[in-house]
Amino acid sequence: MSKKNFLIRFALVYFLLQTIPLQWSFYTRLFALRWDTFVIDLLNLVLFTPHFFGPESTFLDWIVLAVIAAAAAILWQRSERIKSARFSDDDLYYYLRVLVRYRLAAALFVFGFVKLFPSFAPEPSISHLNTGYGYFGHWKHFILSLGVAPAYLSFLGLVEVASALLLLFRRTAFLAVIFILPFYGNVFLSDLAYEGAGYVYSLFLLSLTFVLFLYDAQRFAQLVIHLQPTQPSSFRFTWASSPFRLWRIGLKGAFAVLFVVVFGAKSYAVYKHGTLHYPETRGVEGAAGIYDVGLFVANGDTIACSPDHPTRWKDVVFESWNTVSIRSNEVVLENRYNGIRLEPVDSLRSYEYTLAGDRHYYSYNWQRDQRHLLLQNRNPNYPDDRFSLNITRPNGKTVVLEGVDANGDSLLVRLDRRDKKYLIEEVKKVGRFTLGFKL
Amino acid sequence: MAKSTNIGQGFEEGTLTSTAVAENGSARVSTQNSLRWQGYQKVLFRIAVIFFIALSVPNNPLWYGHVFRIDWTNLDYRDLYDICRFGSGINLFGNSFFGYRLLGFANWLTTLLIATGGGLVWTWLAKATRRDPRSFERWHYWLNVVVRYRAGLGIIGFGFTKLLPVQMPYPSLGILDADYGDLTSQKIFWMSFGIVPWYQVFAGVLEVAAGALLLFRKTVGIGAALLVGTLGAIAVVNFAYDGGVHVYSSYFVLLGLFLLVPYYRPFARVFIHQRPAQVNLTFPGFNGLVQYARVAIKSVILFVFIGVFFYLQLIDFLYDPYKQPSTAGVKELRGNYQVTEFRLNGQEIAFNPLDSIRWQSATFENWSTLSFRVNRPLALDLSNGGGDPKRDVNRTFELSGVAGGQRAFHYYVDTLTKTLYLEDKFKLIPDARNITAGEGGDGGTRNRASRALSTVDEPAVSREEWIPADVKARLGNEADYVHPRARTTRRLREFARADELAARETRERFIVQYQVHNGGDRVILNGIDENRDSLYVVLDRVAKDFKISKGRLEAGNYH
Repeated sequence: MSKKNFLIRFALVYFLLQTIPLQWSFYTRLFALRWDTFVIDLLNLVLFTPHFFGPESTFLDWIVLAVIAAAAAILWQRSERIKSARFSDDDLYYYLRVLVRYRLAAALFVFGFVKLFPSFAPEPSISHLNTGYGYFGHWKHFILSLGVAPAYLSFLGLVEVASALLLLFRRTAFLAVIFILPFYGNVFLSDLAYEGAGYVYSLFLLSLTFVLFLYDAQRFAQLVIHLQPTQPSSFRFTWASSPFRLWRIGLKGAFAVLFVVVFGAKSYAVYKHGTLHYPETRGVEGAAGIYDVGLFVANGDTIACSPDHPTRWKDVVFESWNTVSIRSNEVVLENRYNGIRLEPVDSLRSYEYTLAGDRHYYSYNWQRDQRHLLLQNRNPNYPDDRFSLNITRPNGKTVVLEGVDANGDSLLVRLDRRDKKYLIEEVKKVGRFTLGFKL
Repeated sequence: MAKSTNIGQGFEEGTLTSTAVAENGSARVSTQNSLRWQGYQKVLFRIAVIFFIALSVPNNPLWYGHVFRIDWTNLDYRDLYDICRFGSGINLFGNSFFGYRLLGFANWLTTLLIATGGGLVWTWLAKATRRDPRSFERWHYWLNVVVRYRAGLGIIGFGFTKLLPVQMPYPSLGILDADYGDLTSQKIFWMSFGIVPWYQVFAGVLEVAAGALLLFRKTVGIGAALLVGTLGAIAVVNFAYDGGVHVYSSYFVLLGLFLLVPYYRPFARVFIHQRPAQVNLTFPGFNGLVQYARVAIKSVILFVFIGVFFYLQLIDFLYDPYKQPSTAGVKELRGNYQVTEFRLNGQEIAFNPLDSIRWQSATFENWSTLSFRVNRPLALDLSNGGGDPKRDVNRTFELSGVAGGQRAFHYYVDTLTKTLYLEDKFKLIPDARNITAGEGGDGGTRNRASRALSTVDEPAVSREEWIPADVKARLGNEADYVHPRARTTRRLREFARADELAARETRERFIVQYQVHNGGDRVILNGIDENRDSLYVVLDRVAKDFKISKGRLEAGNYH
C-alpha cells in the first residue's frame, strides 16, 4: 500500500475526529442555542474542538486524535486488502478537501462577520480609557488596539468573509488558500506574541488550510516560481455516481443560509444594537462618565487626597451599563483569562476586568428612581468585596454615595464629574497636523 | 545581449488556438503563437513605462545631495535607509492636483495624467515614423527590473527597522503610567507592536524577505504577493489609525500589483478555469562582459543592502535605537515616582489631583529623560516621534502622541555637583522628518511651519546661561556619549552643527540638584524651574502593579 493511500485515510479520519463533535458539552450548547444570543452561541459552537484534558483543546488532544486516526487508517487499509476498496484514493482525497473547506469556511464566516460588522473587539470602555497603559496584559492590549480602529477590524473581516465565500466553490478554493495562509499565519503568530490562548485554534485552522494548499502546491510552484507550462488538476469528481449526491445541494444550501444569511444578519444586528463583551443591563441613567473624588469620609474621618493612601478612591467611572469602576492604590489581582470567551449572560461577561489592573469593577442593579445601589466586585478573585450605598444626585455633575462596605465600615463619598477630553477622540476632530494643539 | 529566450510560448491567453485538454487530463497545447501585442496593449504599456519609471525615480534634489554626501567609510544605518526611502512621481506642480491634496495621492494622479499624455504622443510618433514594434517583451523586462529594484530596496529599507526592532519601541516608563485615553490611535497601534518585539521581528523578516525575493526573477511572483499582502495590511492600518504613512505603504502595493500583472491570467486559467497555462515573461540572455557586470552589480547590491544593512541596523539596535535617546540615565534615578512634597518659592503645595501647578507624578527613564505629569492643558507633539535626529533631546517617542499633562525633559548630568540640566523635549515646531521622502514621509512640517505662530515666547532660562562654561567642559562632547561603533559620520556631522541647530529651537529649561537616598527610593530635587521659580521636590519611588509583560529584546545600551 502506498504512502499516499495511507496518508489520505489518516488525514480523513483525523480531520473527521477534529470536526465531528463527540463530546456531550457540544450538544448541551447546541440545544441551548437561542435566537436572541444566536451570534455568541454559534460562535462558541464553531470554536468547539475536541478536548479531553481540560476546558479547551491542547496539542495533547491533537496527538491522541492522530494516534487514533493512524490506527484507524491501518485497519482501513487491511480491510481493503481483504475486500476490494469501495472508494478510490482520489475520491477520498476529494471528500477530505470538501470536509476541510466547509469546516474552515464555518470558522471564517463567524469570525469574519463579527469583524466585518465590528463587534469582535469592542471600543475601549470609559474605565479602560482611564487606566494606565501598563496596567493591561498583552492579550488585552491586542484586543484594545483593535477596538480603537473599527475600520481596520472591518477590513480584516472583509478578507475573512471573502475567503470563506471563495471556499464554498471548488474552483476558487485555492485562491482562498492564497489569502488564508498568510492571514491565519499572522493570526497564529499574533496569538503567540500577545500571549493569547487562541494559538491552538488558529494553528488548527492553518492545518485545515494546509490540506488544501498541498493539493495544488506543486502546480502553484511550477506556474509561479519555475514559470513552466502548467497543467490544471486532472481530477473531476462526478457527483452523479456519488452516494452523497442527494445530500450535496441541501447541505450546501443550508450551510450558506446559516452562515452567510442568518449569521451575517445577526452579526449586523449585534453591531448596531448590542455588544459581545460588555454587560447589556442599563446603568444609572445619565451618569456615565468619570468623576473626581471631591470628598471621602471613611468611618466619620475625612481623608484628604494623598499620592500614597492605600484605600482612598482616586476617581470613579460610571459606565452606561451597570458597571462602576474605582481607581485607588489597592492592588488588583487581575482575572488572567487570555482567550476569547463570549458569554450570553451579563454576569459571566468578564472582558471589562480581564487582564486589567488599576481599577476595581463593580456590578449593580438599578431601576429608575432607585436610591440604593449594591455594588458587587465583578472579579471572581474578590467575591466578598461589596458596597451597600445610597445614591443621591443633587445636580447633573455631582453624585453622592453613602453607605457601608463589606466590613460594615461607613463611607461617604462626593463625586464631581470631570469634563474629560480624550486625545484619541479630540485628535480626530483637529487632525494630527495642527500646530500647538493643546489638551 | 545576444539571444532572447521566450519561455512563454504557446500559453498566452487568447492566442491559444485549441482548447487541448483531453478528458484524461493530459494536454496538448498549440505552439502556434505569435507574441504580437494588441494596439491597446501597446498604448497601455507605453503609459505604464512613463508612469512607473516616474514613480521609481527620486524626485527630490535633496535626495541626490544626501546620497552624494554619504561617507561610505563610516556608515550609519540611516544612510542606507535614506537611499531606500525617497519621494517619487512628477511633482513639478507641487503636491496637489488642481488644489486638492487627495490624502497625499495627488502626485500619483498628476503622474498618471502626464504619463497618459506621454504614452499617447509616443504611440502616435511611433505610428507616424513607422517604428511601431510588434511587441515590447524586452521593454517589459527592463521596466520590471526598474520596478523590482525600486520596490525591493524600498521595502528592505523599511523592513530592517523592524527586523531589529527599533521602529516601534517598548513604551517608556512614563507612558506605561499614562492613561489609555490620553494617547492618539496612531500611538496605540505603534506601541501595540512595540510591546511584542518578536512579532515586530517577524514583520521585519517578512518585509526584508519580500524585498529580497523581488531581486530574483523567479521569485518575483512570491515576493510581489508578499509585498501586496504585508504592505496592503500596513496601508489599511495607516488609514484606520491615522498613521500618516498611508501613501508610502500604498505605493508598494501599487508596485507589487504591477509586478503581478503577468501572473493574474495564468493563475486564473490553471486554478479557476482549469486550463493549462504559463506565465508569459521573457528574459533576455546575457553573454560575456554584460553577464559579469550584471552578476557583479547584483552581488554588490545584495552585499550592501542585506549584509551591510543588517550590520548597521544591529549597531543601531544595540547602541543607538533611533527613536530612543542613546545616553544612559543616572542609574539610581530610574523608575516611577510619586511626588511626596512639592514646594515652589518655598511655598508648599499640597497634593491635589486637580491642582494645575504641582507635579502629579514623575518618572526617570533608563535613558536621560525626566518626565512628570501636571494637570493642565499642554501643547502637544502629535507627530509619529520618528525621523532621524541624533541628538537625544530630539528623540521624542516618549512624548509624541501623549496627552494627559505629560511633560518630558532631556537632561545632561554633571555628576560632580549632582546637577541635572534639563531641557523640554517638546518644541512647538517639530523637525521635518524623512526630508527626502516627499509625500511618503512625515514631511508636512514645512507646511505646518508656514502656518506657525509668528511669535514664540522666549524661554526664561536662555541657552547661554543654562549650563556654565566649566560644567560644559566637564560634560564633554555629546557625540561621544554613544558606543564608539555607533559614532558614525552622520552622527558626528549632526553634532558638529548642534549649537547652530539648537539656537533655532525654543525650549523651556530648568536646573536642579539631586540628592539620592536609599539607592533612589527617595530623590530630592532642588533648583529653579522653567519660570526661574525656586523648586523643591521630594520624590518617592513606587512599585507599580503593572500587568503588562516586561520588555524583551529591548533596544539600546543603558547599563
